[in-house]
Amino acid sequence: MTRFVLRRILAAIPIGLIVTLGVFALVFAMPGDPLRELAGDKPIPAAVLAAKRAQFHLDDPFIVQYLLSMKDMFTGHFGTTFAGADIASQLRLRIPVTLKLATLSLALQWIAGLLFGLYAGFRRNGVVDRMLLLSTLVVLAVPGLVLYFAGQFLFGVQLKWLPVSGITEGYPLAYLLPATCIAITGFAGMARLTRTSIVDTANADFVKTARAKGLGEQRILWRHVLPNALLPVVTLMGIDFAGIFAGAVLAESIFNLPGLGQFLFQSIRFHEGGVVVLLSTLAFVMFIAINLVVDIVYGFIDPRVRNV
Amino acid sequence: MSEAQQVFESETQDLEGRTLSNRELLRALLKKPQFVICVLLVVAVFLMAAFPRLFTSVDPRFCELGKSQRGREPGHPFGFDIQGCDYFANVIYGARPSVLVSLVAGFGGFAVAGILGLLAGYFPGAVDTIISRVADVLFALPGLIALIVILNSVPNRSIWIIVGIILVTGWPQGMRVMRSTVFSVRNREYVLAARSIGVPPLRILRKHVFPNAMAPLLAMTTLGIGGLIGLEAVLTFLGVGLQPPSISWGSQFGVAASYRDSPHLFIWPAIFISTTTISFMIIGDSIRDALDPKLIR
Amino acid sequence: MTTGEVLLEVDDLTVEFDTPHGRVRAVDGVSWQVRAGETLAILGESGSGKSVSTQALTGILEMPPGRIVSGTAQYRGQDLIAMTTRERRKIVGDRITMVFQDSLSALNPVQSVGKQIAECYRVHRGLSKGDAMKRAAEMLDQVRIPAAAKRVNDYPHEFSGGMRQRVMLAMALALDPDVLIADEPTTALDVTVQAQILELIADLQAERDMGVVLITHDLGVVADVADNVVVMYAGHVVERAATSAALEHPVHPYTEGLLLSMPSAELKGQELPTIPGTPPSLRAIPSGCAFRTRCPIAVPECALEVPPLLTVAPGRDAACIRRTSISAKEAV
Repeated sequence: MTRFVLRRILAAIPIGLIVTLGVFALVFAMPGDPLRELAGDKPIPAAVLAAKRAQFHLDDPFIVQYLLSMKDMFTGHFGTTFAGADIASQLRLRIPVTLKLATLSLALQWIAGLLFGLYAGFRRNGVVDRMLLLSTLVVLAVPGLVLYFAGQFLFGVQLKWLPVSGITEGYPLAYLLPATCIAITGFAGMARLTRTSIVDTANADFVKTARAKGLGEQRILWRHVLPNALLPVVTLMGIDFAGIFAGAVLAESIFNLPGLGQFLFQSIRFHEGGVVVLLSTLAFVMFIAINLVVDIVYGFIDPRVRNV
Repeated sequence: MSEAQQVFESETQDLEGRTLSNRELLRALLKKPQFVICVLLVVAVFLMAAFPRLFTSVDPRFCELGKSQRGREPGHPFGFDIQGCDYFANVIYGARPSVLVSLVAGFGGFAVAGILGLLAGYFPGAVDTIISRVADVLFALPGLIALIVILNSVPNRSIWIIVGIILVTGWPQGMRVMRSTVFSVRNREYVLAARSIGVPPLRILRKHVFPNAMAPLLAMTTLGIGGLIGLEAVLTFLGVGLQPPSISWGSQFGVAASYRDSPHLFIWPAIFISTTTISFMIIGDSIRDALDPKLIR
Repeated sequence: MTTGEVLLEVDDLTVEFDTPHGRVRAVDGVSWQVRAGETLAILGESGSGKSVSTQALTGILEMPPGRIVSGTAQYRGQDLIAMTTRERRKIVGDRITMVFQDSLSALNPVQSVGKQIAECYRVHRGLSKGDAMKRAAEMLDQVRIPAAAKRVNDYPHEFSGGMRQRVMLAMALALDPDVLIADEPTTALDVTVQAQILELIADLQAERDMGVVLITHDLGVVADVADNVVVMYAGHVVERAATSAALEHPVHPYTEGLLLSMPSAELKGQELPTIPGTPPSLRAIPSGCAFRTRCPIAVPECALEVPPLLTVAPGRDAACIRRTSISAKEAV
């Protein structure tokens, strides 16, 4: 087991290096002045440009630039935006917002997805199952953008049940609508996968063996069906968890929540290229780290992957 | 994106070894009314993209600022946008980027993932190692964020660049599906037989492996096309997709987000884009069902 | 000839499946019995209903779509089919146990093999976790798995095919059952491993005076280990006899065809005879005798009705209207 964990960690490190290096190469190794490119066609005072050159270590060779920037990032020296705002203090304000949104939406989608998926899987071809297949097909098909807008328009603007945007109403009320919108898109995949997995596992040979051993239905369910059926579901939960920031970008932009996603959105709008690179790199590193944790957790619950 | 693909992957696993006897497949599909309706809808949207003038004679760029955000009136069924341009014409003209994405990213994605998957699955060793390691790196990226950072560093973005970058970052999932099916097909007797009588590898791949290994990827691709259309809209909405003055459903959402008091700005493109993506999804669903050995006979 | 107590007696068992294309009769009026210490082989091709019949009587068949239309299965005088699921669970898994063909998919992949064997002791004997695991290790030792005490914590995928089948056996024999139903236990294995497993079953059977029902499509396996054999074709029993008698003087033309198509030293250099045609789809079983379309001695009357299973000699039955006695066969 220890060997498995070590191997996973060792495998994640080069990927992290390649990805961060790739981002840097993409942004800073471009022809012309990268700062000009990052800022778009905004006029920027020469003093700011000089400060930026120093911040991104642009006068050093590329590999030194990369190493110094990584060091800055991991030690919390994020610098300022072109407009002069301190990025570190922005992050301190914004991270809790995104975390609250993420936890609420993940909780909603996991609970609803598991409940409906399990129920539909055990009552295959029942009313709930048919409704679920149809409704999730629609949810998976409708673009998230449309779903978020429609939710905002219906429950915020028309029915006025929940705040339209912003976080002035506080937690959890202000987060409920965006979190539900994220959760609905995630729920569809979760419920469908759980259902498919339950149906497949219930027909597996080892369930027949369990029955031939004279076990009760409850024991077969809890000891044999569920531990196997939920394996792919755990994988999906990991993907969900790691990908939550991508969902947050869209939801925070539309519902105007001052989180990391909105920060990214605004930085694109205001041509704050440096912040886009910084936030993306942070997101990549987080993504790789979360995937590593999920992989290791998976190793604990599925003995087959341990010695791969 | 990858989440929906994960679900489709699990739902299309059983299709391995289903070859498409085209006429039989088509007959099974045409028996389903929902398939026929969705194909007709998709054809209508394709026509909109190719010949927008068939649907509207109004120039989408002819605007009267005085009519900004006004509702419907005779001759202008969808009302006007913020610049006072006819919104119906704008929505019709907005179909083109979505259709291009669905066609190019759909076919292109199938080709790229299919070819790389074939190579990786059929030539274990160096070829497989290289392709799989590159895929590992791309898998380690959250797709949307990767697209944002790459597109943000491209100054002049056309629809081709956007589709191209979606293809470059998006192939690993389909490649893995193809690779694993090829893996289980490559040692089947008919492949071994072909190899034993000296058929060249490329011909084996084309004639024996590909037809028997393509069904899961095909089903996954058709199920995923709707998601690609949505992705283009998201990128444009976020500001890293198409740039003004291009007309697209995604940019219309971007405008609508700032004008919440004029819901028609949002509703019409939403109806059009959703109809298109749902149609693709139902077409994909029907193809998968028609191929599923568990449901046949 | 075994003369032990009759442990399991199946009578007139009929099983149907509901399919989207109508009802399919997979098992039709099947009867057999197994005594203590006896090995009964049920021989047939895939689709002949040999597995379905045993799965139906042990209650592990998916129902629906499966359905038991008629029949009884008496275990020491109690009808397994008529009893409630709860009552049946006390017998199936304890007194009657099963081994399946594909041990990789038949074992729970995420539980250690020890835990899966121990589960039998926990559920049926109420032993504590520790005691159950100790007994599980002893069982692994009895089926001759090397270093059993260590391997008890390993997972199914860490064993080879043959070793995994031993684990299946250990699980089935853990509670010292009266009847072991082995459903193609060696089909997926190499010939040498196959022989080891069959020998192991025979040894353990002798130790425990257990009845074994061996389901197989392999005539060689039947010849090696079975005392009696039941031959099935398209859901029907077509012949029932002591193995030696059936091998020497097959009565039913299907059994005869199977025997003739066995490779042997005498036939060296000659073309191997085969049974012409293919087994019928259960959806389109020929009228009358199901075998008549492939039968070398079929006559028009064969199409009229299903031939009954008749006693052709003491201790032997066959279902063929052309051969209602051993002498009738010689005459043809």
